[in-house]
Amino acid sequence: MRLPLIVVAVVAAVWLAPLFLSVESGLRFGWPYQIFFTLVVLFGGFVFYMLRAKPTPPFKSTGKAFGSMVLVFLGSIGVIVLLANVAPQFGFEETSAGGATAEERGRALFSNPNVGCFLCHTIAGSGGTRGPDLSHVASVAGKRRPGVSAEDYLKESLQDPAAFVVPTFDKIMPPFAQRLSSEELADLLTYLLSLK
Amino acid sequence: MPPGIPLINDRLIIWVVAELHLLFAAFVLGAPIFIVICEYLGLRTKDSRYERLAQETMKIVAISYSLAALFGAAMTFVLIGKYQALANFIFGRFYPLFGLYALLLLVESILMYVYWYTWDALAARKRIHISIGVALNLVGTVVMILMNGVGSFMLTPPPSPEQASVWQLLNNATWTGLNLHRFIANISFGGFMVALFAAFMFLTSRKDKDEDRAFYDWMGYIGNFIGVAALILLPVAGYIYAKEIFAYNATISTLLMADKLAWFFVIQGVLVVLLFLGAIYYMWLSIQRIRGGVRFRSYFRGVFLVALVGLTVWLVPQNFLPSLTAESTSPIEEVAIPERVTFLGMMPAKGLAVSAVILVTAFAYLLYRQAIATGTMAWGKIDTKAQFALIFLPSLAVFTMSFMGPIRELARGQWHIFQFMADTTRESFVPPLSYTAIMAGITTLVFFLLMSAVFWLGFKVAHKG
Ligand code: HEC
Repeated sequence: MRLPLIVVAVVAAVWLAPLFLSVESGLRFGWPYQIFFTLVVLFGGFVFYMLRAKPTPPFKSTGKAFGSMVLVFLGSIGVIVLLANVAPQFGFEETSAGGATAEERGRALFSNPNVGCFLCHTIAGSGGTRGPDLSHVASVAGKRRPGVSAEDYLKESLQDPAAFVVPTFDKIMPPFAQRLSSEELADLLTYLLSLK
Repeated sequence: MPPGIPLINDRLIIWVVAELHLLFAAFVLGAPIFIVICEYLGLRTKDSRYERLAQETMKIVAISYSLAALFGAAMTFVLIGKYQALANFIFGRFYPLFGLYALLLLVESILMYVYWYTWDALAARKRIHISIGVALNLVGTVVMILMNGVGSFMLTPPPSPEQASVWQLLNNATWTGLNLHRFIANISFGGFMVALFAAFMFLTSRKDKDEDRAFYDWMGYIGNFIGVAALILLPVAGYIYAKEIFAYNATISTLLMADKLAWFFVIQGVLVVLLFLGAIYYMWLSIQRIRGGVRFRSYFRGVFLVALVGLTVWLVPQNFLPSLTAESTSPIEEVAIPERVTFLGMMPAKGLAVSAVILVTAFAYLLYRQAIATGTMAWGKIDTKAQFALIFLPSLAVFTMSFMGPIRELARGQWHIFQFMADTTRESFVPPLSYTAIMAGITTLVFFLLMSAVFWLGFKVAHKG
């Protein structure tokens, strides 16, 4: 009989204490903590109740035994899944191409292993080294060939890389004119032009 | 939510299949370690129960082995079919390693079947049989260590993974930590599975089989003991592992412990709390089957009180914000720990609280030893509730594994291979806590169903004829 009284008293204390404590006291717990402590106290009460519960007799049938095993399993896992569902959830960014800008789509293409740019090129410290570092390619591109704008130079680099081979590098970059659609090439171009 | 029909998209398929592969692999790697030890103890102490425990557990391992292989193959198929770029890179760069892996798997399978099928034939030459078991464990551990290299590589690749040697890929920043953590976890996991099996057999044993019940009561006790003992070591390995991650890239650890994934660790905290309390509760019920054990009741009240207070301090979160940058809808003094008691949210308080809990758990065990020394043990006369504790503990242990595994994977964010190969598939998404917990629940459920089927086939159906 004493156990329920103790539980009720402690839960009451958890909820009444803030009425007497100001925020300035630095001891006042907010409502999420009150819920947290309430759950802890209820659970503690349950634990002590289990300590004095009468022994459970063995099961009469295998079916009953199996059924109760399943219940224990579902109960334990269920409580945890429930807790995880009421806890604060972080938001996660949508990554499918749907709402992305041209630049974002271009970046995704660049790091898409099926396209393979990053296997040869480094951007911001990650990627391959067989091709030039592209971290600031938008600034470099305009100076490669006199009279050719950055945009035209980059376009050419993608469609016909052999037209101008950057010194000290081999002529190994495959042309992408056929392998990528014109939308994809445009997305890549937008992305590369953003790398100032 | 990921696009597509729930549960039937590539991302979720690879998730469930990989997790099931890991669970079965953990069991067939962890259990033989103490199977051999038990066989040896049986030889030394002449207590035939050790021999029976070893043999029955090995039978479950032998059946589960093919399930581990099945899910391993399924995982490879999904990787090759749906994650070609990643599969190409992994299998291409680690090619020599996978060759060695295949060879060692062959050796392991042979050793396993020899070990299992010569059990009776070599009954008179136990030392040879035990040596085969030791060899099996050595090969099994190497197999695990090789694959841990691939798993840890994806989170902490060395600089320029295309040029690095296979050894550099393998010997990446978190290889050691993962090895240590998995090795200990596998033993704990194997112990809990034995406890689960024993509870299953105890509860479904026939009324006229007192001898069986006495044995399975004892077996559950041993299994649970191994499970809990290894579990207590696990935080140390976890700490080393976390430190390696921190040294490699501090932003990953921040994401894990303080930012978006922080609440995963609060839930993990709840799981650990429940595991400890369940273990102490089981000890309390075990003590009562010893004549004269009830006089320890008042001590156990104290043990539970300290444990509950300690665990509350350990769990109480520093704040209730979902991430570092989240906008809170409530004023900050509502959702963060009050000023004067902020220490409750800090590491020293948490460490102290956990130490207290571990100490009282050890104290409860000492009480139990004391009861054995002064009373008479009545194996098989244990309260049925204790068997429920032995189902409760493995359920949570399996869930914890299925839940923490994804955290390790989610730490990579949008990357297949951290900051090297992005996941650009249509289904790529970082699932929130609720979603992950549901997925872990589903995996755990499937695993338990398969395990029950293994127990049933191996020990109920087979024994009818
Ligand atoms: C097989 C390796 C390889 C792949 C794959 C590759 N590149 Fe290249 N890329 C190179 C090499 C080598 C050079 C320098 C030689 C040359 O200019 O042809 C280069 C040059 C470039 C340049 C000119 C850089 C400068 O500084 O002038 C750009 C821009 C470029 N690549 C973009 C891309 C993009 C975008 C992709 C993916 C669609 C890509 N590359 C895929 C190897 C590669």
